[in-house]
Amino acid sequence: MSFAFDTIIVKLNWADPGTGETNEIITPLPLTIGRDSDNKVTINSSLVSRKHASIQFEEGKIFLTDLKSTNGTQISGRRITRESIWDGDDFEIGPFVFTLMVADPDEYAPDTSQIILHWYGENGAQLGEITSGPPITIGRAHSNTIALVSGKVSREHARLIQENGQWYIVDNDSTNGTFVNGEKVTRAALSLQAVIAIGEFTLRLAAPLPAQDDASSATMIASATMIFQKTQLMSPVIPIPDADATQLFSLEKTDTNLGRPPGAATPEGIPAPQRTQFPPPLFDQVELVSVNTLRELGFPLTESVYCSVGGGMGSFAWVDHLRIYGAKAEDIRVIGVEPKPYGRFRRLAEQSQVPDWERLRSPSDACPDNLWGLPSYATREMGRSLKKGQLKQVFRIGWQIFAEPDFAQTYSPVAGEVFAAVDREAERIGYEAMWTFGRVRSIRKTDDGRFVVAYSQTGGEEGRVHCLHIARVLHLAVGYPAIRFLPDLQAYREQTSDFLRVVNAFEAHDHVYEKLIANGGTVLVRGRGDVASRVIQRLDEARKKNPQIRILHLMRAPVFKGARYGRAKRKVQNHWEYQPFEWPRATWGGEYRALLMAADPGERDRLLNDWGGTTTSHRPDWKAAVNRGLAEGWYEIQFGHVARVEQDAATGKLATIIRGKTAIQGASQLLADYIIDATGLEATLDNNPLLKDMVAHYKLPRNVKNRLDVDENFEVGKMQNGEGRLFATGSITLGSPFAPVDSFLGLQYAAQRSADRLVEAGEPGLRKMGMLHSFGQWLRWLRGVRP
Amino acid sequence: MTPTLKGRWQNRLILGLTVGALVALIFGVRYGDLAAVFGVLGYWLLLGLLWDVFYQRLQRRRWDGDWPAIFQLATGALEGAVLFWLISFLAARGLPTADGLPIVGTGLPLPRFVLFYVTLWLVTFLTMQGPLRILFPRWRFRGGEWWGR
Repeated sequence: MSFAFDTIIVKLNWADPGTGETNEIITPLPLTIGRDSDNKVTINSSLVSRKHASIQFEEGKIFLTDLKSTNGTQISGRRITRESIWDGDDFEIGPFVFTLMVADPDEYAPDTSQIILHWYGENGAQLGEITSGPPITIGRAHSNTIALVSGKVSREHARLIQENGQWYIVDNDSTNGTFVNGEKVTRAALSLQAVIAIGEFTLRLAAPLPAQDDASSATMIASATMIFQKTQLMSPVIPIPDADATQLFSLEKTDTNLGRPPGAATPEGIPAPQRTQFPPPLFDQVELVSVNTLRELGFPLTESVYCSVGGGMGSFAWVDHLRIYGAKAEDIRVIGVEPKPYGRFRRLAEQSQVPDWERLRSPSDACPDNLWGLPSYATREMGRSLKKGQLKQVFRIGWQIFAEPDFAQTYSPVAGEVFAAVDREAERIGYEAMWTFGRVRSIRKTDDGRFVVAYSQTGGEEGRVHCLHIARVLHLAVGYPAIRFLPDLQAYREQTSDFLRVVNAFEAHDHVYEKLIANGGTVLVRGRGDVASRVIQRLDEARKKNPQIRILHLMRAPVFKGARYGRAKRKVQNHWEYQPFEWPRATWGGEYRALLMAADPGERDRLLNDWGGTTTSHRPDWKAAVNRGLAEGWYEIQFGHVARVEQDAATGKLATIIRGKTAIQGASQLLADYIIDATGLEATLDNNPLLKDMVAHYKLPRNVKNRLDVDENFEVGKMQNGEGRLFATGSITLGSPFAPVDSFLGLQYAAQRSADRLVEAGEPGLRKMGMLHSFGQWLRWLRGVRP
Repeated sequence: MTPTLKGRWQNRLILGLTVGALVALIFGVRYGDLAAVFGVLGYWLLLGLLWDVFYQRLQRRRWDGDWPAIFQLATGALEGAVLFWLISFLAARGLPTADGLPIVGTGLPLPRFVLFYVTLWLVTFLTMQGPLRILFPRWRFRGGEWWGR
């Protein structure tokens, strides 16, 4: 919709500090930003005032004004009161970094094809609402789009039409006339502020809502640009390849697969209903699926007391607890695609440059193989070093866990050692026998107080075996459904099918390092988290073999001040924020955990935003590499917003075109041989077909971060079905009463809470984890005998 | 384990009155002065409740809200020094009674005090690092609290 006559349309985007997901609003000015919900842009943080800042359009300029906020509005770290800003500019409010872009009206023209019209009676009561494209006809006759039955309205009174994206109202020579903002009109352009009067009726326009189609499809990105509607942008995603996929496809084919437009095929795709009757149509027809009917369907059907869906580290931690709490192995089923609980984790770690011999970003006492965290990984490593006679190493590790993080680098275990420990524990609890290969399609409540899990045993079209499993206690630990991809990079890949030069850090991309070592060249890295730091470290190593490698690090905006919470501040160096783990340590078991648990949803959102944000761990070797790179000039940090990525006609290199004047140091484009996207993994519910289906079917509540709402025991209360209970853990639950859900220790915490909840609910197979039971089980662990 | 204030208090009191008391008993018998040793333990507990409030405020200034083991060592040394100074200082001035503090009196001579205090600290520290985690698997997630959510 064009508002050129009185204002300007801007696009404002910012990342959610808690989840890293991008939000965007496209709106005409003016707008206000603040903590209160009546601001057009509502953001939640203890550093944000109720009415914090405003943006206006005055005399051809856009002004950012701080509304006397407590903590101020900053541009590049400088506190401002009122300042002129323009396309591509950033400003900071608390933990939020905003980017303002002037929206091109033509870009959004297609989305104005729909409009919402509300109409009201004489007394102001709303009579109706319609969402429609042009033309919209208004009149007394029932054949009109909007029928206003009154003697003062002509049979065909007026119509709304659209020309060049602009809506107009045209009076059809009506007897009593059509009024816009109190003036009689025959034809008038409409703004969203327009008040239309026809007879005793009043009509008002509103913005169209987002198209409710497949949210994970690429078209969503285009339609996310709808006017006046604050939306959470769906990043383009690519499915995380699993063992099954790599077995089925050659590498090349897998690559093509990865690059296909998201939505064209969903990661754990629900099979097209027209081709197969699985999950059974019954699943969508009834509230409670009859077990007797299920038995008659003819699919292989199995039953167990407990069932964990996912088969990753979350499932492992959960079943490990159940076993130690007393559950029998034959009562537990795990459904997943990886035989090893760390299968997917290991592959993602490996591809994001944490191979088996490197250290993870996880504390010493986060031991997925040992629920007590004792002996910790540091203690075990000290023991191994002692056996080898490496006394220096023993003291080094001892000092680390004693003095971290202030006087020593925070200890983390070697990835391969964790996997080996998990293998031993898996053997001890009989994990292999509990595990079944399967992709879970759908979950429903049954009529006997349990749940049915519909899963398929192979991914291919042919030879797919569909199965059903019924369990009373269900656990969802599906992990990240997809890899997050920056929209401009995804667009480039779709247009060019160039999957070799533009890669995601979570995809296999060793060829990039190999080619760089062979030929030298420039790499552009995007993202500033731990993965980006590992990629840069790997590139630093590659430079030892070929010094002709340059790194351009493109960041969205500079970071001058670290996050703040109360009197605490996070450390910043070279625009990287440092923190030992994904969340502040006190969120696992300290005061922050207690605070978050006691918080109401609004407060929870605020705390997560205050504590969140992209950080990297404090590794001296990596910091040294950055400092060396900056001094020697082979590592360069650039700031800016990418308009698009294309192939440079002259050089054939990848050109990243920077938008607006933030193209600092005179560079409006950055040329590189390779681009590595290290922005992360996607955990939105809508990217996971299984969860999306379950949430839609049972109308499950979402939490403040738009993920699955679980209580403090990780139970999805609304899924309770008689004696049947459903728990969920992992990244899909972020925004619930516990912050570090996506960590080894967080998964163990979740498992413990849900096991305790089951004991409290009188679950027959489980024993209370009292002092003696705990001690006895720990001794069994030590001796390596079955729980 | 990242302690909460309640966790600090509970651990100090519970461990002080169990393993701490056991250590005091052994030292009291060896020194032949049960009252003085238990007196030191008692003052350590009482003063400690105040120290814990101070530590927790300090801890809030740390971004991670954590408390590394080295801090525990440092605070242990600080508490010991202050405790010894307080007892001997007051005793030397005949405060609050002519014999110094009630029960503990003029306290223990420095070497004996150090030996007892270091053992007390070490035993409580090690109990928290090991046995407590095995017997109470929820303890570490509750900021060291023995009861709670």
